[in-house]
Amino acid sequence: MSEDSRAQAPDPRTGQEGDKDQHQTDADGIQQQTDEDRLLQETENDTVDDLHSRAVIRLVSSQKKVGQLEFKYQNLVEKKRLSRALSIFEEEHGVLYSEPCLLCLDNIHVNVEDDLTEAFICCGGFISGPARGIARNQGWVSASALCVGDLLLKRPMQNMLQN
Amino acid sequence: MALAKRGVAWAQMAVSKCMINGIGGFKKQEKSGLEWVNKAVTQNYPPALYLLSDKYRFGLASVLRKSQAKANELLVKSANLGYGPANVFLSNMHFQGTDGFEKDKDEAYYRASVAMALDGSDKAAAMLLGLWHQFPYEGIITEPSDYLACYYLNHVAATEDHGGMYSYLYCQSLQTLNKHLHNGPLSIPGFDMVPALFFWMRRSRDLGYSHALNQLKKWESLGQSLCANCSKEAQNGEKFKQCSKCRAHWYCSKECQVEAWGAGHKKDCKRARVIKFEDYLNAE
Repeated sequence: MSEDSRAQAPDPRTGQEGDKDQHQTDADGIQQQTDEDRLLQETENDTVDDLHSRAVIRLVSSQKKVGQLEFKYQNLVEKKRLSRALSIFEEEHGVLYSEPCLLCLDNIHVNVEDDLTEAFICCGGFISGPARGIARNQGWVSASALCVGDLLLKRPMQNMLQN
Repeated sequence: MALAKRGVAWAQMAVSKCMINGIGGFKKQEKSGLEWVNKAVTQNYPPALYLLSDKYRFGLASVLRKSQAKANELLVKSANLGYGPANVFLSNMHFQGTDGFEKDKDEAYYRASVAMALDGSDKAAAMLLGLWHQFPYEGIITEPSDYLACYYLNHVAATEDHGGMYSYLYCQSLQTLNKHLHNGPLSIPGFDMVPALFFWMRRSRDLGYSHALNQLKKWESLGQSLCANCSKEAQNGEKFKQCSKCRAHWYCSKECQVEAWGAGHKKDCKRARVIKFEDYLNAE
């Protein structure tokens, strides 16, 4: 078979896709033309002030979008920078001490902040802040997961600590 | 007390605080309080190290003599064990170069960043980072960002702004961001930041910040003298109508008010009360 005859042999699938592409291109072309016509008609009726204010609004709108994207990017970079700083810290001073929460079993860095956990005055155990919130709201627990002591005892001690 | 006697570090520190301050049903007994905090310190409990550092820095009546060296040693130890407030305090010391610490802007930035990274919401760390982005003193941050200044200051202003200073600073950072975004002040309906600026400045004033009160008076007298839609100036004694929702714009007539509302002031009014910076920036 010659090179030419191979090139001419049509693939039915390719033909269908080619037709679709052709239709799509035609539709895009028509759409673009109508858009241009519409814009031309609009601009013909507009005064210089209208054109100016429309251009300003487009500019400001795109500035706003750029701002949103810029913040997204800078926030991402900042988060990475913070996590890098924490990695360096852990390399220098050892891995942060953590203990699992008795309710949600998440590892909690118990010594990072005073209000990350809620300690049980009955037995000295603790649960994480989020677990405490969920447990209280849902009414799941009224007693310590360790010794079944009354969790309400914790409040006066926490108030004292805050003072 | 039972837990403290059993050797639970946080309970020992709680008992110590109660005894030193004479609260929670304990008599004021500083010496015993100090003994309890020392017990927690022997367990390397970071908050106790920080508490004792504080007592050495400022002294404790006749019970404990001031010792800057001992205070600094305990502070660094607490910070290196990953205690957030100790890292923030250390950052401040390095930033100011006081209390026996060298002025070291890199260390200051590093410590504040660590404190922020530790639990992701440390307000004192957010305050430092926000201020350094907003006012890039001595180049502590090589590439200060107007967005991050807003982000961090908003984090403090929205949650724990005693005295209103952070609402004021956040308001300032929004103004700077507005200039950055649009190459200067801008008040086109639909993209107008003025209602949000008024919202935060009023919040600052209501929380008792005196600078906000003065600034607000200036803005109000300026706003009252000019129609926000057609820029018509108020004649002697003439009172323009104020937008009752945002109370940030004044209009010479009902027609101007309606026109501005339709042109986009409706969006600005709604957006102004959005508290979180990310939501404000992304709001329609």
